[in-house]
Amino acid sequence: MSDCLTYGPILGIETSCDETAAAVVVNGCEVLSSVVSSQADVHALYGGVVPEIAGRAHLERIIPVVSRAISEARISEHEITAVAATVGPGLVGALLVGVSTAKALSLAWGVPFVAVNHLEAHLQATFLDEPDIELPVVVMLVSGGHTFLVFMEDRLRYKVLGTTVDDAAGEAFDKVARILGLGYPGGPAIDRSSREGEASAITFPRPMFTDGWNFSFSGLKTAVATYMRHHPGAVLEDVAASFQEAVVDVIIAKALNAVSVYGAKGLCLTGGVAANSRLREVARDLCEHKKVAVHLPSLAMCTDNAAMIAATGWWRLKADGPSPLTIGAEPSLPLVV
Amino acid sequence: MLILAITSSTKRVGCAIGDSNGVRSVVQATRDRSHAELLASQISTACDQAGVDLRDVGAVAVDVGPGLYTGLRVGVTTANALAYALKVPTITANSVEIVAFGVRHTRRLIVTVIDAKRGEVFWAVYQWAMYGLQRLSELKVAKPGQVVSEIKHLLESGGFAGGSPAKSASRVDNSLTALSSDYFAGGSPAKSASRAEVLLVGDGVIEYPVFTTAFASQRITKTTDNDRIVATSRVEIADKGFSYPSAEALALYASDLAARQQFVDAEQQVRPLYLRTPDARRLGT
Repeated sequence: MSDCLTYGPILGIETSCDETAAAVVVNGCEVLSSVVSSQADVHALYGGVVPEIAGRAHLERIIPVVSRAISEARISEHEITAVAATVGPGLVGALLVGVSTAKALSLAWGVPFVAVNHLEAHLQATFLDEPDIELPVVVMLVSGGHTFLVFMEDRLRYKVLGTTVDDAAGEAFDKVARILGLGYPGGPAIDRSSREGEASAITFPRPMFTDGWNFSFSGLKTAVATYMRHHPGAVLEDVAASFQEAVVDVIIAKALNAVSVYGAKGLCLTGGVAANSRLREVARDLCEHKKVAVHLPSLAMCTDNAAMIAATGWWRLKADGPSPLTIGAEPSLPLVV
Repeated sequence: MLILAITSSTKRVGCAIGDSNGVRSVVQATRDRSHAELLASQISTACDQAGVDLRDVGAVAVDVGPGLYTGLRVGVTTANALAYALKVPTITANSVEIVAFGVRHTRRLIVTVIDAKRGEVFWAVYQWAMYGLQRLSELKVAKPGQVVSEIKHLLESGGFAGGSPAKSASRVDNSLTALSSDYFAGGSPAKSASRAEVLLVGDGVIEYPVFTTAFASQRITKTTDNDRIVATSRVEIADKGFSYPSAEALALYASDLAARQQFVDAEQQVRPLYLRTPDARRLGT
């Protein structure tokens, strides 16, 4: 175990999907800067993330983004004590850019490189806003690519209770948004549209509502598609709101059930879908009702960012020390229990 | 000026450290899909072997392809990050010219053919002249069969038709077209127009049997010595060892470019030479 006091500011780099991000974080919690350059506008033209376009965009943007993160942190690059980067999971051509950049900077500056698991970083994101969350907690990670229900006993010790058996929660939002013609990315589009709709208009199924800790969103998406075929004149806002309500119900029900079964002190929501306004509203209301502490990260910490990578890098350096330079991109890296 | 050269556009990934006095160290590997895992530690080893600190490097030279997207992404990203962190300029060269430079000591026309995947190759024609490597044709993507026809045409006509001589230090410049046949009469080190000879090199030649099939009849003898270039007919195929852009060749080539101040602006990010647009359809198209 290396001495945590030897690590000052850590540069974090994130390029797993369509956000090129860099951040400087001190002591695993104090964010000096966090720069995110989103490619969403580029991919929107194609109705989804195009891996090759993402890889090319990361390559062009990464150094300007790193440079901005260092200048916004108001430090000199000589003060950086380690470079952390997401090595997986994600798109291989996108990950390679961040991993290669981090290793090159680590060589040039003569500081350690530390490999970070993107999923573990999402679990840590909430703590950047609230460093003193009382453990253990249940963390519900819901994003475009991932759905994980996790029981966190300690910052680096956790148990995956459940995951999705088919589509990720965010994927369901994207697919339903496409069915409804609401555009890409689907999460914000459905969130917006739902505000004008009636959530109780249509009763969509609540898949795997009670059985086990796993999730399934594919059937719900099909139910929306079937409904639209049979009701071509349906009010889109009502369909969007009803679909969203079904997803929110399942997520919150399972998460709260886990809190009670595992005796957790609170519930954290994290990942891009945790930015959904209805999910946040229901989580707040139900947790208050059940006297469970609820931790909702800021929107900037929900979506992909590099501050969570730098923070996780700090924790991993403390626990495991630097990573070897022979680590490459690991597109299917699991969330290790 | 000490140069760190990085090549990663083919199955080969590697780096070399050198200057105008020669190459001090080379570390490279030729295997599949491990560019990201290998390159950083190769750089570290190359520095150790050369007995230099990475911070002594005065410029980073990089192979910008065309070639494997994954490999290029690793090499070009690494070069950009090192140049940024070390505050040094970059020097770029394309994969096809690096391969040509690797076999430069010949009077033959050098036809470099790099595997572009999907049944295609990247290719161009070069010649080694007194003042350096000259590109005689545009760098293009083509089917291997087309390249074979063009080479046959070249042999029959004895050279290129029309156009003006390309400038030296072949930067990628699509305005450069072809070489006039009177180039050959103009006291060049090449054979006379009627006796153009070709040295065929590159991993595309290994990948597509059409090249060996087409030109095998031209071979008189075949050596089994892996270290020697077969040099017995009008179209010779270079040994497999010369097929990939080598970091050693790039380090030497980049030293020439550095002497001529051919640097990429420090503020500018080097981008790979893709020569193809991504396979994706915009909505509504």
